[in-house]
Amino acid sequence: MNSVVWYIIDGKHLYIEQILAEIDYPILYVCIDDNNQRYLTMCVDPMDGYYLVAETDIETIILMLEDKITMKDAFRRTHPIWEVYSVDEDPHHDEVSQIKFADLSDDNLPDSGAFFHLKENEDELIHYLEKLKRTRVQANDILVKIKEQEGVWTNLSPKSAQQKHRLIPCLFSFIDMAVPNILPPLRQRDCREITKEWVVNV
Amino acid sequence: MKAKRFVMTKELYLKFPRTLREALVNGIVSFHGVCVEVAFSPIPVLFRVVQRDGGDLTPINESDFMSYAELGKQIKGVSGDSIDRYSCSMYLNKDELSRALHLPRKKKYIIVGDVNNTNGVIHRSQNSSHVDVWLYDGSNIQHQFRFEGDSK
Repeated sequence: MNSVVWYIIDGKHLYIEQILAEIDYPILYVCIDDNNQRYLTMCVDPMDGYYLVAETDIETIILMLEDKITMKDAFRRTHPIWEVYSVDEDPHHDEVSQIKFADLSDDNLPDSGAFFHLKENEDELIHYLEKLKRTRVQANDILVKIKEQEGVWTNLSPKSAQQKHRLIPCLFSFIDMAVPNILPPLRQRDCREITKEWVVNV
Repeated sequence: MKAKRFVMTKELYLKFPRTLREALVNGIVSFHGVCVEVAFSPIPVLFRVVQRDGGDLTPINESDFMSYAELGKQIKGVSGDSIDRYSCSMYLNKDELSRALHLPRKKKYIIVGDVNNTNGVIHRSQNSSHVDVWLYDGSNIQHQFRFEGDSK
């Protein structure tokens, strides 16, 4: 991960993961924080130092890169969105505030109906898309394994239940740190519900 | 074609606009590690994006080629001590600009023109058709460009 902090949002440090479009400057890109949460980010006006930073998930980025949703709809699917006004190179000096998608002017969003249109010769972006897909598959595999374990652990002996109890904080930590950032929100909820059921069963 | 490595001299520094010249002389930025071409063959077709407010029909002018350093603007992702901040971005392949045309805020237009070694020095990207151009002071490059679609 690039160690340069581009934004500080709610105390989290955001770093560049992938530039998606640039002219003289990066105009559309994905940032990532220390918890692997991803943010779809756009330089709206370089002269005003005005940016949008939108918390997103892998699924949305993949859908956008595969032209299944427009670039504007990718922002529509994000929440929350922050407006950032930057005055200098130090992200500590940025003015940051939340804004709802509905309150954003069309002038500050990608054109309606405009798709990403990934081109065959954009090797770096094609590799990035493949990386995102691999991460999604890994996350899904982990979820399946957790669900399988649920079935096994419901029949645990008391001794094993104690062991299981010790595992729960680790599982919570895993879900809090990794899963929310690599799974769609519905799956995140699934994961949390499964873990809660384990707690109850113990 | 492999570009010739060129050692940037202080004599050459003097040809750049004041902002870049001073940054080079004061050691704020350098061309160290950048494969700069000085005596390059003319590049007949290069594309660049310029931005205008809605309804603004201002012809292509010198400010369309100013670097963000010259404009005094700090952009996220373009470090203040990076020589890139002092360059003017152009592209050999206009397809690389098409995505940006749909992104905010100002209306973006593609302009097309030629660049030669009297205009400045260049660096060609290895991974894309991007060309950094560090223009010399008074290069008057705006006269070599037109809006895409306009006849010359």
